[in-house]
Amino acid sequence: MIEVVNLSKNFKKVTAVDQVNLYIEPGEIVGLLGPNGAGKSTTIAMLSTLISPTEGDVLLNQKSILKNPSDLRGVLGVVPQEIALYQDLTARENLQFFGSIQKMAKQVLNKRIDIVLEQIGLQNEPKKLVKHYSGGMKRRLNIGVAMLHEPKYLIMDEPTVGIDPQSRNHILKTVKTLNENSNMAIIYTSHYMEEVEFLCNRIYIMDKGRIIASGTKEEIKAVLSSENTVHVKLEYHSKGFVNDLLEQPMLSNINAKEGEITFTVAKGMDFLPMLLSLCEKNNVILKSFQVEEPTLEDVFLHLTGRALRN
Amino acid sequence: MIHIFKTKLLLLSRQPASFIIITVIICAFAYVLGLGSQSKLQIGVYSDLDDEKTKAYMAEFERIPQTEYILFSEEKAISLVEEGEFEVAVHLMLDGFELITSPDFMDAPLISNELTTIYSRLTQEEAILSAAPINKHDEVEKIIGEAAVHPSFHINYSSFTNDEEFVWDSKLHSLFGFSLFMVIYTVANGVYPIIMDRRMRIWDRLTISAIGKTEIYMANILYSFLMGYLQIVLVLSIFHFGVGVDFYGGFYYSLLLVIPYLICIVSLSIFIASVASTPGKFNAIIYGMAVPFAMLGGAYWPLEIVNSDVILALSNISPITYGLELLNGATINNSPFGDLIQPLGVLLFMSVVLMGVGINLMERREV
Repeated sequence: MIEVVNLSKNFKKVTAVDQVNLYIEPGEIVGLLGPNGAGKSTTIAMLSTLISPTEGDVLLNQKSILKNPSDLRGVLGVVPQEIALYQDLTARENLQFFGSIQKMAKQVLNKRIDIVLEQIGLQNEPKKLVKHYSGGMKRRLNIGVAMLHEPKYLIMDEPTVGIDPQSRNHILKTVKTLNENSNMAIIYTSHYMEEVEFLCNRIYIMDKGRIIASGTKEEIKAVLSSENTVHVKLEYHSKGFVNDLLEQPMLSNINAKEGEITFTVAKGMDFLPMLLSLCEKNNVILKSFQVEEPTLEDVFLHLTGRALRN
Repeated sequence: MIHIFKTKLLLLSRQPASFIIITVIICAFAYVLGLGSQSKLQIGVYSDLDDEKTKAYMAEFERIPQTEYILFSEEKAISLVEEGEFEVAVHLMLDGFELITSPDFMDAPLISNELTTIYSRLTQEEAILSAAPINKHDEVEKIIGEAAVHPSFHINYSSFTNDEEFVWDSKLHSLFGFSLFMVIYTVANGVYPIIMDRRMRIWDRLTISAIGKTEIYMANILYSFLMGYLQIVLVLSIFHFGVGVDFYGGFYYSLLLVIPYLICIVSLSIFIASVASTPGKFNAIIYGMAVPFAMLGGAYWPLEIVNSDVILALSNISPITYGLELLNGATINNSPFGDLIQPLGVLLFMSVVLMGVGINLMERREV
């Protein structure tokens, strides 16, 4: 098990990570959720021994790895947010290189390369130079490199940034299968709520360098168990309408984006007459509205007062 | 380490253009500035001698370096000098020669001296031949020929040297200057992937791999050094074995003495990589620094002709100054090793400081 204890990191006068505590048990997928600048990448960098913390400790099986990081490095694979590959090499050459620096025996490495290429769905194009790959293929290879030496813990830092939905689905399924088949623990950071909901058993929500909520999906959603989320679609955006909504005491977590508005309201509260009268007052045409159970996004909004992708 | 090194070579084989272009540029510039620009002094010739004798004399004159002799009529040769197209003409006569020169031609005594030497030798040989019986001419000619190849006395010329004296070979200077200058770009190109690896997070993958940081640095440093060294060896070999540039017997010694210079340039590049956070900044610093270093270090012109105390003082910060001192010491100056310790020491000192500070700064820079 990896444990992070009171981990902090200061860059000059800025506190990027502030007293973070979390743990990852073998075989589970843990989500680290937060907007850009929340401190996820810095936490990941300390967790993967790339930078040393200002304060706190990282334990592997209850042993500190700060002074001797090689124990953790041996069981760790990291998928960086960037495409950390040599663009002028083929997929196989990249895998061969990154496998060889893990000091894998040649025969073992060649077998693993074949397996990994199949797992990431690139078995038919191992001789194409990476620079000629699509964004999704590069992302998959980026993951493949990290799991080549069969690490027990795989840290994935926003592995689906900037790719098409098809490749994204492929990656999510690959991650899920990998976890189920190999019992590899995965720490998955993202600001895409639906990815974390789909993959993770447990979730840590970070904002401004701190963990603001943690637990299973259900536990976190229970924060808003007494409320419903309402999605409203308007014909066009109206500032006056949004301002009037903000003045309504029964509504909270109001998030307006062009013609779409989301808010939470206590279960059983009859908000419809109020909504219709405000539409009429502001001359706004209501296209549709939908009442849903709260999502992680709503919880995040509730906890931080801002949307996750801001 | 070997895996990183092999991968770098593989990447170079996929993108060899930069290495090849720089090598070609060095050769081209060194050739044009050192060899191609050295035009021969054209000397007009008109003669009172018969054709056979005139040709024989002209063939002997051609042995004087950097001179070329063209036969004209008397009127033409004189008019060429009068019109300023030729600086000098020579009139061959039975009992000697006369030089016709333009007023500002400064090398008349030198040419006159060389021609006198040749003229007296040829006249002497003719006198010997004419004094001998006709049936012995062949035998005498043979003896004269052997005497030319195996003289009774070997005469060596040497000059007194002192610190003020300036020994200069434009071919070697251009070759060394441009090699030391342009190899900065090749070495920097070898270090550049460190910045890219850091930016692309490949460096992170290397850091958390099973190999140590020392191996990572060693592989990168060795690769940059060997790229530079290979280029220098290639260029100097082309000029030594191909073009025939005289290294004054110090060809292999110069290949050895260029090593400290290259180590210093690798260290300098590592230092720049540590302070430049982006590839753009790295390139800007390298390109902005290499040219002044070349100018201050004497790559374009010898420092001995520079009078400015400021420039001479600034030349002390350019590694090219010391690189050229070493290479000139190994070749044209034929310096004893003791004279090379100072530039060698400065280069090694620069290497240690720049490499130490550079790696330290790189390691301190965090996410």
